[in-house]
Amino acid sequence: MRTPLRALVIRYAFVILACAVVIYPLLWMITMAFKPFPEWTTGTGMTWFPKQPTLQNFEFVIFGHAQGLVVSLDRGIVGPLAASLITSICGTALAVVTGTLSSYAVARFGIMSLLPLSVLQLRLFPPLAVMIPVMVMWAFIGAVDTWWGLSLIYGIVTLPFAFWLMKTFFDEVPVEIEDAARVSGCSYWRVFYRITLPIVKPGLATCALFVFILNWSDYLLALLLTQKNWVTLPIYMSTLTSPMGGQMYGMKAALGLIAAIPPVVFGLLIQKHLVRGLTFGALKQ
Amino acid sequence: MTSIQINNVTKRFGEFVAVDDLTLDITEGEFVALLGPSGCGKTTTMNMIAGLEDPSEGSISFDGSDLSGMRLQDRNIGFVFQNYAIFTHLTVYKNLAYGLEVRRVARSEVDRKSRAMAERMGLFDRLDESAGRLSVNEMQKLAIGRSAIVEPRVFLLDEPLSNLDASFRAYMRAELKVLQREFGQTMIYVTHDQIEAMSLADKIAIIDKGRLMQYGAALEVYNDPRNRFVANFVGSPRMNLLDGDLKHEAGRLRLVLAGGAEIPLAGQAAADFGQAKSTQKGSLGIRPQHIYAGERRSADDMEMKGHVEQIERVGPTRLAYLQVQETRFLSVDEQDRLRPGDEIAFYLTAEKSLAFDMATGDRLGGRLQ
Repeated sequence: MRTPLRALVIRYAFVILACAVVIYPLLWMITMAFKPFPEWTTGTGMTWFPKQPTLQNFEFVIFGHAQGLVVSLDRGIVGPLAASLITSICGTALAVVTGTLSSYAVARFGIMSLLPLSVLQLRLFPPLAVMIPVMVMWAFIGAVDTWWGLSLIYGIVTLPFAFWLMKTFFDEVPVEIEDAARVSGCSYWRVFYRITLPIVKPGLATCALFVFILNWSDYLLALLLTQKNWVTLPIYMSTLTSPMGGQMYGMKAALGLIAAIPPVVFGLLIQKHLVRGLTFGALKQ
Repeated sequence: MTSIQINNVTKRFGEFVAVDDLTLDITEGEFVALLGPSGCGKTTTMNMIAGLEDPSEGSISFDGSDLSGMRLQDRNIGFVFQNYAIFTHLTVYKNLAYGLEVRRVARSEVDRKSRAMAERMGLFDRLDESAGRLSVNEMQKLAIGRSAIVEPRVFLLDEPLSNLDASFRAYMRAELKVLQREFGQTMIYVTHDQIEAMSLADKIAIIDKGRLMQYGAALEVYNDPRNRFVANFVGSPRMNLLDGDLKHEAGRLRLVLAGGAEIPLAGQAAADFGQAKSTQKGSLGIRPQHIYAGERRSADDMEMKGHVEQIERVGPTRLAYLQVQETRFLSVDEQDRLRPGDEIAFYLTAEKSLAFDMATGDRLGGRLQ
């Protein structure tokens, strides 16, 4: 059979284009992180790879100042990194635990049949629309600029996501498997804990990763609900501007690289489950 | 061994009545099949015995003691599901050991029993594999082993063979019978396959639309169906059910079928229809093996004239479709001499004919010998 050469060329062209669109920003960030100041912009001509690679950008974002640079920041990366880790992890734990338990209740026992929709409604609002009342409430309970205040709002905002994702996973588990365990003598709680949860473990891992990425990359909520004690990485990144308002592209790229590490590590840790989680519909019936 | 009493049990889901005033008495050690078309309430009945559902009305007892309020985990039931419900995230060993571990049996005992059961079910060399990697056939064996290992009082099987391939199904059918003898437990078996029910069960309960149609030994249900539904449902090939108007003329009774064909009722069939004077529309039931061509065997046998429409071979049996005007009779051609297109006379064995009232579906007349 003759190979339809033209179709092949077009197909590969599209694939290459799609890859380029995805990879180029990443490549830009990695090379930029190692470029010294003069190479940041095209003022001295376009540079694809750093001509004089430097670690100065990393030094600056980690310590808040760097040798040979007159500008400095009032903080290093440690505070924002810790703040981001703590609030993202706590927010993710909150959303995943409550989302899992509530979606199981709805998926299995059909209680509160309107709950799924009202949970979804939470997601339909643009966050900005409710942020003013939230800010007032948070101020009232003393949650502004605290780790738990930010974790709480992260948990609430990502709950619908966790709820709906986990619900689809629970819906996939045949009810007979749970019945079989109950007939074997298990209580409801034990069935959930020992049978159902292990079965949806891939889904749980996937859900946790997605929710974590959502929280990790949040800018708006952290901007509105923190001041200076709990500055997260995205907020920290926004402070990387020179006194005259110029963008510190090299430093931002360096910070971006560092900030990408936790989700990537998390993803690698659960890699085994990730594929199963994303193709969960193939559960053996 | 445990006896089961189901007393006037009704189960409603909203408006829908899944099980309607069901009463069944199951003797200890008996193998009972619940047989009926899909959605007739068999599985709901099973779930109520297991405790997965509660009856809306009525009660279920084991050995005379009422189960209502007894927790599921205290009933000690073995349940094999249609889709196996294997714990695919555990190993074969863990699946077998599960029920024992939940019951906090000593570890050495768990180990001994699990290995013995694996040996019995032919899964011994797969003990450490993930149960999700077993074939469908092996999963079903594992499901049976997992239920049997706890030595339940009652063993419930919900269409356990329907997902298996044909040859393995035949094997498992024989195997189940052996297992039941070994375990000596009361077994209830849900199926919509009447061949399965006939070959396995001591007794068959036939259910339609949530109501019990008949409950009796396999042969009794086959030979002596209490109503038209049972007659139609049990037996393969299916019974001929010939519906028509009863005509009394000059002391003779005839059944006029749609399209005009007439059956001159005689012998037992005439007597049964004749008893129920009020019956206007009747249905004559006769199994294909009781319709024959050739020499008349008894003076009472009812003669029909028609032609052979088609011959069908089912295994060693030849089935002949005999056409009389618009009515088609299914017959077993024992002597292998009918050919399509033949114009023949054939006979309906009168003493094997069953009479039904079309209006109620009930059987008319007495018990067959």
